Amino acid sequence: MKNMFIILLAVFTITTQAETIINNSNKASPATVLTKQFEKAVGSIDFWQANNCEEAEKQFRSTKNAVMAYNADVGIAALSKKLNCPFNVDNYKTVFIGKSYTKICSATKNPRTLANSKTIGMASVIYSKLFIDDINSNGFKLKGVPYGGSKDVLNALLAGDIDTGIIAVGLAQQAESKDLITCEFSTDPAADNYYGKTIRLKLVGLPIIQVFYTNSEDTIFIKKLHDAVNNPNFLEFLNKNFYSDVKIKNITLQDIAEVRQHIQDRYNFYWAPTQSQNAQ
Amino acid sequence: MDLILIIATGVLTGIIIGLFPVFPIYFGAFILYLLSDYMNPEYMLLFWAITIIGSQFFTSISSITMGIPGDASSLIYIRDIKDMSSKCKNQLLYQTSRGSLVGGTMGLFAIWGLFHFYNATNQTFLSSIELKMFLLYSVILFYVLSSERKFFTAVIAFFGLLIAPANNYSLPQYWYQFSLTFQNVTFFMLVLTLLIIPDLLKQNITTYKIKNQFSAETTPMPWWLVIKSSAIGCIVGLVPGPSAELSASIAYSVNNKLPTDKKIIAAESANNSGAVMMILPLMLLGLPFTASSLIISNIMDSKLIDLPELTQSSSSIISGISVFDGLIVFCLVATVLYYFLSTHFINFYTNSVQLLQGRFYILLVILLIVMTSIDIYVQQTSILIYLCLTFVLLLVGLILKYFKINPTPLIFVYLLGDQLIWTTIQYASIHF
Repeated sequence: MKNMFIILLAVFTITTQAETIINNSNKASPATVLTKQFEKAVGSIDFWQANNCEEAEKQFRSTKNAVMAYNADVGIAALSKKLNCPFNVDNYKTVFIGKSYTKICSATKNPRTLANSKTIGMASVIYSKLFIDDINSNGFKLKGVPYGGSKDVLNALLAGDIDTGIIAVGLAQQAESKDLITCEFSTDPAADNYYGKTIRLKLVGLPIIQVFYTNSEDTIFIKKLHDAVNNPNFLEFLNKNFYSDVKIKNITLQDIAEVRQHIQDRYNFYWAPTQSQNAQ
Repeated sequence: MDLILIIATGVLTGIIIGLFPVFPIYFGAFILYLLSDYMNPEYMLLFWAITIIGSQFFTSISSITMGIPGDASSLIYIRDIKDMSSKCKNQLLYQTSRGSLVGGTMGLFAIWGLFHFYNATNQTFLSSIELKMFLLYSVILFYVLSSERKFFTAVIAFFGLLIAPANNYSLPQYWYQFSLTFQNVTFFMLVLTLLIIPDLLKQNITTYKIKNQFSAETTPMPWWLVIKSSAIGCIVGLVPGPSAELSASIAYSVNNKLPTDKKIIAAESANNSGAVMMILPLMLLGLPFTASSLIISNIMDSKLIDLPELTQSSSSIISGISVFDGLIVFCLVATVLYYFLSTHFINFYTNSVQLLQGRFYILLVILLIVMTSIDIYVQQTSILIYLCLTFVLLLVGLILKYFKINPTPLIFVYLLGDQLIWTTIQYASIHF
């Protein structure tokens, strides 16, 4: 009995530790790699992997000195599943906002353009029927195929399961350099091959937005987080993984509002109508 | 010195993962999250590969001696162990160790050959979704059709499928919400609540009592069966997902007409080669096919290391060969070491348990509490949620026990379920 009590006490102590980074993204997501990189830059801090964003939100609220690694795509998909994980950062201190984009690619051994593709794979957090319909409104006849994350999409492309796939730019770039895939379009509005130049869509760009914010009032801890986002290794990681529009200093309410608008727009255009159709 | 330390800790970790079901096969990779700042990437790969091999080697020991599956790949035959004589178990310990040796070695040679073949000819060999669908459904169908109570087996398998998805946004709303309730269920929790506790409560303590001292007993080997099953593992192991579990199940079902011990040898040979095969797509293309390789891949990503580049670079341990070739050499050494330990270690292992036999019930309860605590810690679950889920599943376990329905299909379908649902959604999206 005594042993049992000690063990339970130890576990309880471990599970309620302070100073924690909470990750709401899938383990296989490139966003998780960014969060792990941030964790490393911070140094001595715990990492908490949530099963979904609602669980992440609960953990964030109940943990002192917590940092939320918020993936906007997860937030959008979660809205469609009626999960309670709003992007409520107003009361908290935001230390990082970063965007990375995706590429639309096919396997080098089976080169395809969007025009002659029948299937397009993408992570389930960006997959919605209305998004596929929006692409198809340009004369394509694509069937959308959802996957757990970009790595799964790449696997499927190389296996010949799908004709084209939407892959996070860092991963796509690595595969391109090995001549495994060729990418016809980028979803980055700043890119030369930005798909919006050829395809008319309701929304401009397809960014993966990651926001780090903390509920801490401890100035030493907040300084530690600011130091982490300015850490040369972290900045090098952002650079190598093509993060753009990175905000790490003087993050304004306008910056937060833009992220919130992105979540709302994407949900309204590509997810919400499906919900109401289903309800009907 | 560092090399010896890495191999020794890798071997020890592999043994612990294999013996205790509370540690999933990816636990070795998980440890690397903690150690990644202190180890060079080549050592990390070595440690990871050695733990993978060891975890499969030793899973058969806890399954055969105690009736507790070391991991999911030995679930397929766990019920067969119950009625076996001690002599038969001793022979099986020897035969499965040899089967694991052959399976592991064949797997390593297969990935070595395929790696160099690919690089020489620039081939792409990856599994198709059709093959994956076929294999996954075949395994589940096998479970249902081979059961005496087909209807109930199908019902509990269906329940396993309902609770299996892990945060899959492609599911319909009602299914997604239902699966959220069970999102903190773990493999260990299922084994604990559906198999171990119901057996204990029904006074079936004999299952976990070790009456005789075990020792691997030299026995003629069914070599053709071992080679055939290892070859199955080499092929099925290239299917993304639970490669060891799938390999074991397919080898077991392919040999369904053979005596029980032969089927177990087949499953154990196949799961060893199957587990090893996950190394190939990761090293060659940087593609993680399993949870374990996914974790190591993420660790390498976070260190900005390109895995295929690393594997083709020069080894810092053995000069004149590549990192990949060095890895294969050390994995072969570790495989032989594991074989030696798995055939000699049994005496130490069972003798320790033998000494405590009189208090085994209490020991088992303490062990289960410790394992549960570790499970809660590893899974980062709150104690309350964990206990609630344990209670619900225990209720299911007791009902199944009362009606004499084998709960193994539920556990198995739960483990394969997430993969199965993804594959089915993708197949349907592509073809319909």
